[in-house]
Amino acid sequence: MPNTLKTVFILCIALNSAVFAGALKPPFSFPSAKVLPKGVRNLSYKGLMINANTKFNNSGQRVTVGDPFNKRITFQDILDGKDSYVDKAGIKQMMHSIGASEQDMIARTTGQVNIVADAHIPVFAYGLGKRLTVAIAIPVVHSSTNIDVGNVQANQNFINGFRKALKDKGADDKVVEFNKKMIDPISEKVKEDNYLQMNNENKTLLGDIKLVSKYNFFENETNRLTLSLDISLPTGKQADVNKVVDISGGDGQTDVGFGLAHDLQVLNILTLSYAAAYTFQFADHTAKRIPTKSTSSLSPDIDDNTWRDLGDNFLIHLATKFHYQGFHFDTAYSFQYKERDVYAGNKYEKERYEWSSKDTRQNMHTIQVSLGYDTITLYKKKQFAAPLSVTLNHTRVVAGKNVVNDPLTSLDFSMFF
Amino acid sequence: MKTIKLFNTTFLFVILLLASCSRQADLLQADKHIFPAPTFMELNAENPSAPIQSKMRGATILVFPNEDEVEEYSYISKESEIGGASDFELVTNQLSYKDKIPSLIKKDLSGGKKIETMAFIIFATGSVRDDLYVKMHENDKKMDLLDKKLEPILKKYVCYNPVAGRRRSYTCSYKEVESTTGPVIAKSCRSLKKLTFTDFNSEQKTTFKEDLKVCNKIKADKEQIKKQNNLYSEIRDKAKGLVVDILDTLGKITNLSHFSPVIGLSDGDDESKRSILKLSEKRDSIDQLKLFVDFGLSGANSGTQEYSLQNGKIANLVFFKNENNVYKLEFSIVTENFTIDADMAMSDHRDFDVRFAGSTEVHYNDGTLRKGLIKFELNHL
Repeated sequence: MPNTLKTVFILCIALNSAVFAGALKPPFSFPSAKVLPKGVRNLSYKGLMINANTKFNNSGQRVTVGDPFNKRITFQDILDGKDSYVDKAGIKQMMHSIGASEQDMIARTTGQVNIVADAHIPVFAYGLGKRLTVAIAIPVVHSSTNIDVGNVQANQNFINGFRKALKDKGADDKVVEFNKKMIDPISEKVKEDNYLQMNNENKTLLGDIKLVSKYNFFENETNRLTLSLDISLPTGKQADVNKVVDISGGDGQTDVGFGLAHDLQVLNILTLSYAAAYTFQFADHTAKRIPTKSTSSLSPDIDDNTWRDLGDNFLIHLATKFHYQGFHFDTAYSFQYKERDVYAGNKYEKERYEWSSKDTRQNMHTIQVSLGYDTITLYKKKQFAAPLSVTLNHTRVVAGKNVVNDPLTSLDFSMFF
Repeated sequence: MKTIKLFNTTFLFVILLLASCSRQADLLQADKHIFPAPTFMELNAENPSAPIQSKMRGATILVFPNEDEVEEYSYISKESEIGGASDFELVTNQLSYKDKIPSLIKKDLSGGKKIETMAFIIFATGSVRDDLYVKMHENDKKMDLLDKKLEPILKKYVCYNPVAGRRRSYTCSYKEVESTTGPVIAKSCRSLKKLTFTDFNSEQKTTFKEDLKVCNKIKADKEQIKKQNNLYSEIRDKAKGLVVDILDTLGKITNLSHFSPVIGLSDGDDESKRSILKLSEKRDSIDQLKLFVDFGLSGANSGTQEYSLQNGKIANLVFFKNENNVYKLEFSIVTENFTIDADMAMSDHRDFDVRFAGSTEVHYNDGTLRKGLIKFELNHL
């Protein structure tokens, strides 16, 4: 271990966007303006455990991730699903003949989605100069997704009546189609729109590799100010456009982020830190399913050259850190906001691309706690063989919009050499 | 140094161990509830493999306009010329949802809405025709039952040794006796009433009077049913007339023929001009498809023409069972102005016997594509 190592702290790298693509994620590290001393290397491993079973919807209400699958099917929905006016007329006539109206519910679709993701992020940092530290983070994400969909038929008279009306018209093939849709409408719709069948899936993916640099431009006894620049490279595999639910390793595009961090040493054992960061998500082209109606993102239509501009996001992060003889206990609050995504293209009507932007504006309020221990002080006193550290972090999303609600737990191992 | 290396190696080992761990998501079950589906035995034909009469009971071919072709179109159903209910009211009054059926199509509606309204009225009137067809069928069965009740009454009173009287009345013997003239059996209640049995005792006279009453009751019931069927038949004709009226009015705007009359079993007197669909015995192929249709063409092809596999005006015919076990029939009808590509499915029904129903794409020579409907109806033998 080089002797120039005097004060070594865990390098805080904003790695949030390296794990899951595009969208806001709960933070798992704390703001810090500290940099590595010149020549010191740091290898750390961050293990993140996150579930995605519940989320805050566009109204800020807590719903299940499978909530979009839970929908009432009314005759109006059946009518809206028909493009042809003649087909609409046929449905209307049969609907009235069985004594039903547009608002009557015939069934409701149900769905449950359970996602578990574990991200393993090795990070290598190097003190390039006295004030400049560079780092690279290479996330690997293992995800496990379980999906189940179903249908709860609501009105036996309407269903049997409609079936009979189709049969009376001599439309035996439509009777078969209706029967299938009444048993599992989501799976039938998925098949009709040429998606892959929804199956439980386990997979391991490389995420977006992140390059980070931190420059400490001011420091005195009590204050430290640092600027950061990070670049997310599009190394992670994007979500498969042929899957209804797919965990991606990345969003397929390059992001650039700028940040400012400030540490205020209030006492020997207490530091207040805050950070602000802004990430630019650059526009690009990608393959995307373009919705056929505003109420559903399922669509048979793919535009391979959809212009996309994922929303920029910013972060404000406030922390208090207690540290005493190697032990540290930290708490933090963060607020993140992401602009809505914008899509455009030439293959379909402009309005349909605008529907893709629905529910993409996000915000997230989180609180974090962290408990850790490092051997750096003991190492400096030559009472321990190596400078290591271990930290356990827990983050809770307390409010938000269009973001996952489940807590995140992470384990951080770090060594310096 | 060795100690540091040991620590670092151990540290790396722990990291690799942690990195290899991963969790599994819990298995979930979404709510499901499916009502038991009827088997539809009660809707399928009683004997679906019964032979099918090849001459079509009826057929319908119609084509809808495109949205941009109906800007000038509007429709208002005709009022009754003699007062009372109009044809539209007579037809729609048969439906529980008659208030939902518009009697007019306003000019300021969008093209799509006009087509939807037009199609809705057509489907509604179609369902009236179907409902009344079923009722007429049920009435026919009632008639058969009444005839079966009537027959023994008439046959019971054989008039032996008849002596003719005035206005086809007879005096006769109930007991079988020899006679130079044949016995008389009444063919109707009226004729039965005109028989006088000279050898009846008082009890037999009473029974005869009661049987006459029963006979007249049956006769009255039959007349009632016949009257009802006549009314149903009239309403069915008016329903068809409504469809023709809507589409003819449309045709005046588009200069196209949207309704093409097809000659069926009960149309016209010429037996050689009956539309035919003949299935093979095994029902795995179509042996003959011949349609007599008036597409509203001009010149040599005007009026009702034959379109068949034989004369080549029906082409590309495919008949198969699809993955859903439904028989499908696809073919093209070729005319000088357009080609109709039909995609139909076959259905066997308890009330309607055999139907082929489906949609068409009509490709006009000027490149326009319009969509339509097509239906064939056949009887089981």
